[in-house]
Amino acid sequence: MTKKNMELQKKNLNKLKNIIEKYGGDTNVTNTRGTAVWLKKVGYPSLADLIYHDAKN
Amino acid sequence: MTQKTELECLQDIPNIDALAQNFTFIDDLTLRKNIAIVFQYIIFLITLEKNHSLPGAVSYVIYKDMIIHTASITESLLCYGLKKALEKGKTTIETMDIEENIYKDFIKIREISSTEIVGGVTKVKKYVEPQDMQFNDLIPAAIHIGLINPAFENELKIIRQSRNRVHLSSLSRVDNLYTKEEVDNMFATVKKLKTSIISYLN
Repeated sequence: MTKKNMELQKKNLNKLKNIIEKYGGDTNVTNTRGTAVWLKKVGYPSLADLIYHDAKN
Repeated sequence: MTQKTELECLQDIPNIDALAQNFTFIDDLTLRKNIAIVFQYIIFLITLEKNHSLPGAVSYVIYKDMIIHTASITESLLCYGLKKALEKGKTTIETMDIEENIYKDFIKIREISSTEIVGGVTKVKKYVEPQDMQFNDLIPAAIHIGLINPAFENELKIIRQSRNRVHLSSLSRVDNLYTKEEVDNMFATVKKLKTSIISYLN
């Protein structure tokens, strides 16, 4: 494979990764704490309580 | 305010597994994941509304969208609570007391006209299973078995009635009066419902 082809393939793979992330994958945020803090700040305290993981449940 | 790109908005939202952690009391993994997906979508709607300067009507419809999805979570939690209560033997279908009548074996007695016939039928009373109940039935069934406190009925009714505003043809006013507070109150109701279900099933 030529250097040019390798670069093209790398570029295409990155494009594909972006498409998967945007439309088919999931986010990388693995806890809800930060979102809960933000939700409280923007006026959704009850939603924040609902989505912030409570270890007891 | 700096507007975020689409992708930045998405990156701020917890993933499905993280959101599902709040509903581990639901042992039906499909339902748990579906509820988490709806929450992810609701958070996405909030980021959309917060990060863009939208016309008022668009914001109202975003609130309405959140209400409809919150209602679907409420309905599914009620249904899950009732089904699980039966499964665990904590109650009976008779105690839920949601009935329907089935009419069969029609016997024609006399024909009055081409559109009217006098006849007899066998009426069969049948108890409705939770999975076949409408939202309207799930609330009294949950009260009858003690899954929720009767004082909680009105809050659940508000969610059901708001959800019904999806039927545009039945509205008598312009449908643009939703507020953030109204939506957040519904989330508070869902939290209470979740707590009631956990406490009843334990």
